Amino acid sequence: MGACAAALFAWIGAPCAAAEPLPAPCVVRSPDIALPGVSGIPSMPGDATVYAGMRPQASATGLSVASCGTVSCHGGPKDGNREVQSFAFTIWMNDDPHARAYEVLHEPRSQRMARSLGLGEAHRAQQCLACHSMQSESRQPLPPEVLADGVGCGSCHGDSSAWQQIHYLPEWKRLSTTQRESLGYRDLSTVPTRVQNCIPCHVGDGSQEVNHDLIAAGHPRLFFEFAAYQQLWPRHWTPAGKAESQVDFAERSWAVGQAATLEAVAALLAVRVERASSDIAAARPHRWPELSEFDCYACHQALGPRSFTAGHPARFQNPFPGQPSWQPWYVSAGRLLEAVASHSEPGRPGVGTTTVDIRKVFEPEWFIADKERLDRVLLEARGLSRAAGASTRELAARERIVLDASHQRLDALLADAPPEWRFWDAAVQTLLVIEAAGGGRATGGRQAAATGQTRRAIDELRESLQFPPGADSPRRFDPVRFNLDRAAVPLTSDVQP
Amino acid sequence: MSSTGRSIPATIAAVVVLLGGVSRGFSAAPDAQPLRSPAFRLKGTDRCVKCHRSEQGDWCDVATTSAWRHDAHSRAHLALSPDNERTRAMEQALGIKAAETASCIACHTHSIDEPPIEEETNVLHAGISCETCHGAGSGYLEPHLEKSWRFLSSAEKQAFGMHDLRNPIAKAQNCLSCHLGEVATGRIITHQMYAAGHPPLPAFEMEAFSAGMGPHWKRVWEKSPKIQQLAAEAHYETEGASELERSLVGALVALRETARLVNDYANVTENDAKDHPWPELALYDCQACHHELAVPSWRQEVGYGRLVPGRPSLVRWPRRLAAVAFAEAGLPIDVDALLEPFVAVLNRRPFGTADGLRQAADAGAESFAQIDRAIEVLTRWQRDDTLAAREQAATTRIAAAGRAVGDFDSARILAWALTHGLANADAWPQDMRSEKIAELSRLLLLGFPTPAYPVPPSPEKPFWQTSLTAAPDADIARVRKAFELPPAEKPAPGIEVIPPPVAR
Repeated sequence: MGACAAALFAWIGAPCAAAEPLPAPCVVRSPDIALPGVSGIPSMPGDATVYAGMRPQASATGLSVASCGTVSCHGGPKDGNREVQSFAFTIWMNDDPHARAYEVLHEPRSQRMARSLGLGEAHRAQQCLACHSMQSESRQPLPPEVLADGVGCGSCHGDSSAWQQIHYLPEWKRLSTTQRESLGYRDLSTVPTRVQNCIPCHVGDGSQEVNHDLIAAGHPRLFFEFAAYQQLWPRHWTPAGKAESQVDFAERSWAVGQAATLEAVAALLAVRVERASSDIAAARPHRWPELSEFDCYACHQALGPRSFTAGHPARFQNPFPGQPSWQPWYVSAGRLLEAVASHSEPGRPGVGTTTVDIRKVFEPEWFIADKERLDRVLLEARGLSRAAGASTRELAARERIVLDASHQRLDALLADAPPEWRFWDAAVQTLLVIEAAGGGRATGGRQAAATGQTRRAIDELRESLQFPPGADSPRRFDPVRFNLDRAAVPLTSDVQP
Repeated sequence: MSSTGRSIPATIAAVVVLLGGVSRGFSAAPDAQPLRSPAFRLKGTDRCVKCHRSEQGDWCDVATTSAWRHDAHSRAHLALSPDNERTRAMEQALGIKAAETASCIACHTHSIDEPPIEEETNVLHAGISCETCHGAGSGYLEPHLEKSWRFLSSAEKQAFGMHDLRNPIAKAQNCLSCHLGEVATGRIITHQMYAAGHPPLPAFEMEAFSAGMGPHWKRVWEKSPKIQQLAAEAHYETEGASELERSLVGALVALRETARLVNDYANVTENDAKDHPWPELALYDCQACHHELAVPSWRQEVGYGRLVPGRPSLVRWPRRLAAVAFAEAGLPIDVDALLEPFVAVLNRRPFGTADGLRQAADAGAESFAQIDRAIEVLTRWQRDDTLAAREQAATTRIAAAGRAVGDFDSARILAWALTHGLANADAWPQDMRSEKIAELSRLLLLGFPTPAYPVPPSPEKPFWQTSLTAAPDADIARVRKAFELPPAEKPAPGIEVIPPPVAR
């Protein structure tokens, strides 16, 4: 199983709290290097966000992790008495799966995948390197030793050629975010900036995507939920002064993460549909219906009486027998987001309504590929992209995000449209929002976290969603039992004072 | 009817439609003629039961109805009754009444209005009964009581409306019309029906299924020498030489019929895309999608051949046994190359297009004629002194194909055929053969309950419930290994040694 899907499964299997290194005195190196032109940094007009995920002008040396990971910089020994940034590289190298992103391309499975897709060698194929290395940061082919860094420092922090020599000087601290970014440095201290950095690979975009051909060849499915991924990710920075220090960090990560992800999901759908439309018009081969846009387990389930969906009671039955539903993972995310992080602008269509609108375009006859259908999908995809984009900005601007993942709210969602909650995907999303909302705990601290009895009940709920041994699908998932178990979790928000 | 001897009443002969010699090309207009002809009317099973109920018989094995009563076909119509829980669920999901829906009736009993019922009978309540397979009886009921009847050729009997089910080609086509599907007779199972709860149609190996349902006939070679001699005179030579060779013919017919089904359904779609949209997922390999997402995945290790990964294949279970049949017939046909035009269409977009597949069928019509050529070769073979060597060669070849098999359904078809081959293959020790059959049966659930449907009904799970669910759990590496045969103790003269297969 690939790193990204493995991460979420691991999360479902066992909570993995990032190590919390003790605060340590900051080690500042003496500024004996001249500052090239720092004083002359122009301020960027309009404070434009430039996290497109691609910086084609980047250089190999600026991307290589080699200069970051020296012992005296970020590659020091893991030591609770030292500041995390002194061993950030060490954490990345030892504990972070991103460090092995390129290495996996040499595995027999990757090589077989590339062969069966006609891509040649996986570790040389642009389609693979786009996410498994820092190649997409650079217009020039990166040398093998830089490719070998996998998803290294430069993938997220940006090409360091213009700021590597200055970022440890006291002057660096005086620069504004905009000034730093004009040098190619990416500020990752806030939730929205982090999410935008993950999305190009973990959701995909017009230039890099995980489609069904790739999945069939052996690539794990992508399904992204930023808050859970972030929680699993070995943290290599100090929380002080960063997103972690916000009182609503968990809620914010979930809400902004889901909104930004939905925007990207919609944009990817739009790209896929536009591509299919023009290919069809030109009578070229195409990939529509793109099967990875639909519920995996609608098709990938055992036949016969053991089929887990066949056993569902009538209210959870698929209203369109034999037809897979569009993206239950993201439709449920949209529904939950709209319901639990109530929108501040009533009247505007929320992300829940718009995700459901896309799903409905595919009902019935999900597979139709005529112009009328594709145009409608495109229209709805753009609608979601706009709604989710607005939602991302609105949520990011909120001073405090409070999630109402109470049973009352979740029960109302379930009662509204039970078939939407028949999916294992939707159950996991429900669990994730309960987690993000701290199990209903009023968040007085830095981070919402369920405790005691609630914690145990949530853990049991998570265990019930695990795949049975030997399977990579939810063979035994039962939406009725899940919702009974979910309703039995003692959420403190439901307890009346 | 009082005529005797071999004369055929001219009046009847003149009105019947002769169904022999149907062209098997894949032209745009479906040329398949339904086996049921409106020229004849049903007489009803009651009429057959009057005679075919005793327990004895040689020339005429008349114990048929007692055997048939234990055969699942005799209950096929019960599945249309709302007494059945699964039927109720399906009716609710699809918004239909099964007993009034043509596509249900088409395979579960006689159709309501075609052919017409001649008189008050229980024909609608008899499941898949005598006349469903043997033909509506109005034309042959009386003539077939005459002694002269048995000396008519199958074409002559066909003229009275009786189908020659000894002929493996006709029989395979007859069985496959339901067990695979046939557009011309409205026997189309859809993915929507499956999703609503219809059990999946298992891969179909004619001879194993025939044996499994409890045969109500004897092969010519099982009859007494005297009858065998008479049978030779009576044009029974169409029966084929052995179960194994009939099975090979069945696989070739199945390969042809899968292509025809796709072609015909594509035609239906082009004329009526609203009610018959494309893709109809029931035309594709069930397990292309319906499999466990296990990692590591043997499917990915085995690879997808010429298909782009992630593009579901059309029904593919007849292919590997058909490949053996081509080899046995001495025709150098690569089944995968034969199907290349279809694969190219599937690679152009997931599921292909109706138009594209129909054109592929048209373009491939000439190559598909090779299937008929192979059938012709195999059905010419006789039960002579080369039979043992032929069977040994075919058995070896089937085992070799099994060692490279890439999916559960194809493995089952090969395993059933291997079982026929090993039954008589004294080139290998009896113990080894029994063990091999038992092992394959365990891995691939080849067994049929005996009887298939006991009277009174048994609480045991029906056949499909136990067998079809095995597919996702099948371990292909173990299955492949189970196909390994030790070298024959008595090499058949002139039989080449088949090298280990290249994994496909």
